[in-house]
Amino acid sequence: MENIPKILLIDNDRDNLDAMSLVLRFNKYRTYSFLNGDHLIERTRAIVPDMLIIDVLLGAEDGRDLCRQIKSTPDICHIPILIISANKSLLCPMDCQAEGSIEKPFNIDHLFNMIDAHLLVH
Amino acid sequence: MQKTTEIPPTRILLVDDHALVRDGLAMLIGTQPDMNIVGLADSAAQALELLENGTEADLLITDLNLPMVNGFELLAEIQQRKLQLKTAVLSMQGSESDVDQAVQLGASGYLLKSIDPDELLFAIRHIIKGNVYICSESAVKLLKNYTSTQSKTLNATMAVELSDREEEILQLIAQGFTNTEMADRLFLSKRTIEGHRQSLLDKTNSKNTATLIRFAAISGLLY
Repeated sequence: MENIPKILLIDNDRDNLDAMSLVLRFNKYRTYSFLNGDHLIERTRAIVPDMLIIDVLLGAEDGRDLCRQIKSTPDICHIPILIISANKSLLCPMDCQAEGSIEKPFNIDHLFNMIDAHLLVH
Repeated sequence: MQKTTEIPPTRILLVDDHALVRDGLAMLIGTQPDMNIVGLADSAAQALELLENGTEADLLITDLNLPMVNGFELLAEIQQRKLQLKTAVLSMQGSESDVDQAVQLGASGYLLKSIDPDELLFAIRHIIKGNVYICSESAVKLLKNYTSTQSKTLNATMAVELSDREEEILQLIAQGFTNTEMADRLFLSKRTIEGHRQSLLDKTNSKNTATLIRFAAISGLLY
C-alpha cells in the first residue's frame, strides 16, 4: 500500500481549511479536515495522522489548548503539531508543546518546508 | 519525410481569490508538459483585464465564490464578450442548480475542490478536446437526484389505479377520438364516456386533457 502521509487539519475558516486541504492533496498528502476540535482525541486515535495542523483562533476554542490535549495524551503525544495564526503574538509553539508554527498568510513553499521538516524528524 | 505536428501546451488562466489555492493549482498544473499557466487572477475583474490586455488562454478555470463579481457573472461576461476560450468552474459547492447555471453560461467543466489531482488533469485534457466534464462527485449527485425524481414519478404513477374501461378510454383520447366517437365505438352513452373522462382527470389530478395525456405519456400508460 502506498505510504501517503496523513495530515489532520483544524481551522474554523472554511475557505482556509479547503485551500490547505486542496494544496496538500495536490501534493500527495492525505488530508482530514475539521472545522472544530470536537472529539479531537478520538479522531486522532482513529486517523493516526502523521501531523496535525491547528489554527489558534477557533471561535470558542483555542487551538493551543487542543494542542496541549494531544500532547498530554500518551498514545498520541508523539504526533507533530504545527499551529497557525494570522496573529503572530499567539504563535509561541513552546507554550503548547507544538513542534512549530506558521504565520498566516503563508506561501505554499513555506508550508511544505515546515511540513517536510517536522515529518522527517518523526 | 514524416511530418511531426507538435501540439502546443494548453494555456490556462486561474481565477481564485485564495492565494494558496492559486499557487497549489499552479504548482500541480505547472508540472504537466502539455499545460501552461498563463495567468493568475484573484478576481473576475483582474481575469477580464488580463484577457482584454492580450493574455491568450485556451481555458479559464474559476472559483464561483469571488469578491465583488462572482464566478457566474464572470462566465456571463466572457460569454457576452464572445471571448474565444473554454471555461470551467472549480468550486466547493456542487448543487444541481450551480452545475446547471454554469453549463448554461457556457462552462465546459464543473469541478469540485475536493477533486483528486489526477481527475483534475484528466478533466482539463478532456475539456480542451471539446468535451464537457462534470467531476465524478457532482455527476453522482446529479444522477442520484435524477433517479430520485424518476422514482417519485413512478411512485406517483403506480398510485393511480385505472379500471380497464378507463384505460381503454385513455388510449382513445390520446388517439384524438371525441366523446361521441368513443361512445359509438364502445357502444356506451356519451354521458358515460364523459363520466369516465372526468374520473381519469380526477384520478390523475390533471387539469385538462392536455395534462392528462402528458401524465399518461410520462407514466408509460400509453401503448
